[in-house]
Amino acid sequence: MENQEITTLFDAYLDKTLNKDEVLAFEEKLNDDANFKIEFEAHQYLIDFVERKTLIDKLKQFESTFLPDKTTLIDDYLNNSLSEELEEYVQNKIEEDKDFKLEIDAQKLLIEQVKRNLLKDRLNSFEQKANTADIEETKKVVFKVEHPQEDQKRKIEFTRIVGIAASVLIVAFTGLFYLNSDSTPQNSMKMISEYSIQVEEKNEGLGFAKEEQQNIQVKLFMNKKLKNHYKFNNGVLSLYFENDVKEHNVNLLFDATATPSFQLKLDNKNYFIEFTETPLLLK
Amino acid sequence: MVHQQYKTSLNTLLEDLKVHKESAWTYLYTNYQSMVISLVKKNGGDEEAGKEVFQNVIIDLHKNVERDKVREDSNLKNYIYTLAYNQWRVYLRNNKGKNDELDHDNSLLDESVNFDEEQYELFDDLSEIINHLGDKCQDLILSKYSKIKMSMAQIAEQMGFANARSATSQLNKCMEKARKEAVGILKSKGW
Repeated sequence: MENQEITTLFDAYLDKTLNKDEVLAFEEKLNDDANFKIEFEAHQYLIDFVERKTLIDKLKQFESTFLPDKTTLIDDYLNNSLSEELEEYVQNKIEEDKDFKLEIDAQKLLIEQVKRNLLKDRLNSFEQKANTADIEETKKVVFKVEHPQEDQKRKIEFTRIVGIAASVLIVAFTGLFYLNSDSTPQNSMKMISEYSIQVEEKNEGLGFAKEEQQNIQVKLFMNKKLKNHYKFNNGVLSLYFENDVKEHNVNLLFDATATPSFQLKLDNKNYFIEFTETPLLLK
Repeated sequence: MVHQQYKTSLNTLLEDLKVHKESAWTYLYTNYQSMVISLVKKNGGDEEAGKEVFQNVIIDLHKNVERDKVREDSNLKNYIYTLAYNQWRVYLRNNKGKNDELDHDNSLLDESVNFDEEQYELFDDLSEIINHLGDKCQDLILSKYSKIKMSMAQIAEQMGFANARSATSQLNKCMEKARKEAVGILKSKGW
């Protein structure tokens, strides 16, 4: 039997296309001829291997359509946009693989940091714009001077308004970011006390304190997350404390020449505060 | 949903696996791939190695299904875990010289699972033999022996042979060469 014909014979035997006599002859040869037998086994192994290889290629193709790359998978998981099957896949993976859980946490933190950096950049460019506008406007005011002393006051006032506007916007941005995060400050808020105080004036200026809002409503709150923060708007000064202590010494001083203009004396410590709708840290 | 059916009827899953239904693969990947990767990672492998083991597990499962070697009352999770355990054990023994017992969950091992260890040991050698054949030989062998059965006339037409006879003649030459090397390996392993 020629070697080239052996392949056809083996295939015919495996495909069951031999007749009865040929099958008998084939099986007899398998029993009697060790070389024939080993060659037939080698043939079978090769065929098995080829079938396996084909199936692996198919599986790989399937995998590439079913499973997205890991970054996309985690992104979609964090955005709750996975299909039902992939959601189950990720849950099983988290259960089985602690490293995968860490990878998810790491990706979440990285994304937050990137967003934070982007917001910082926007704020920086906003501040730069505000400063440029301030300088330009100051120039205009200086050129119009007829009564130098009064206009100097206007200039100071304008600078302060721009400054305050910038602060308020920065605070609004930061506040928005803060409120979007999970740590909403209103959690477990408790009012300790509320009373009215009169604003003292240090230097005579142009501000509202003297004209409209000499009396300020002070509200003391207990909130652990917001301890040492304050809010100041619409004539109400809100102060946040860690503990439920009712006795606090609060004084407010208005200094038209300073920026920020308000000096808060709280329990013998001095802080500079400004108008804000969002809680800011006392400093 | 089809996955619910698979959960309640192993037979449905096995029937779908026989015809390579993708929903069956989706079910297997969703529920068992992480378990296999975890086993491999616990025992010195990485994620990629785990994925490869899982692919081989699916193929072994396919083969056993085709040969009716998977009982309908089998616990699929244990079945898959056992196949993965055996594959990784053989891999470590052959490639890293490690014969230690794996860090594993003994309650998931099923001794009745059919695992052809001898065949598994030959994979690397067989792969080398096939890869050393010329491209035309590889294509011819893949066309002839892959699951999608084609006649030699169809293969001849697809691959540009004059007729089925010349395609068969070329296939015989390629297989003779491959078989000769495979016989050498079998003999060296004491067959």
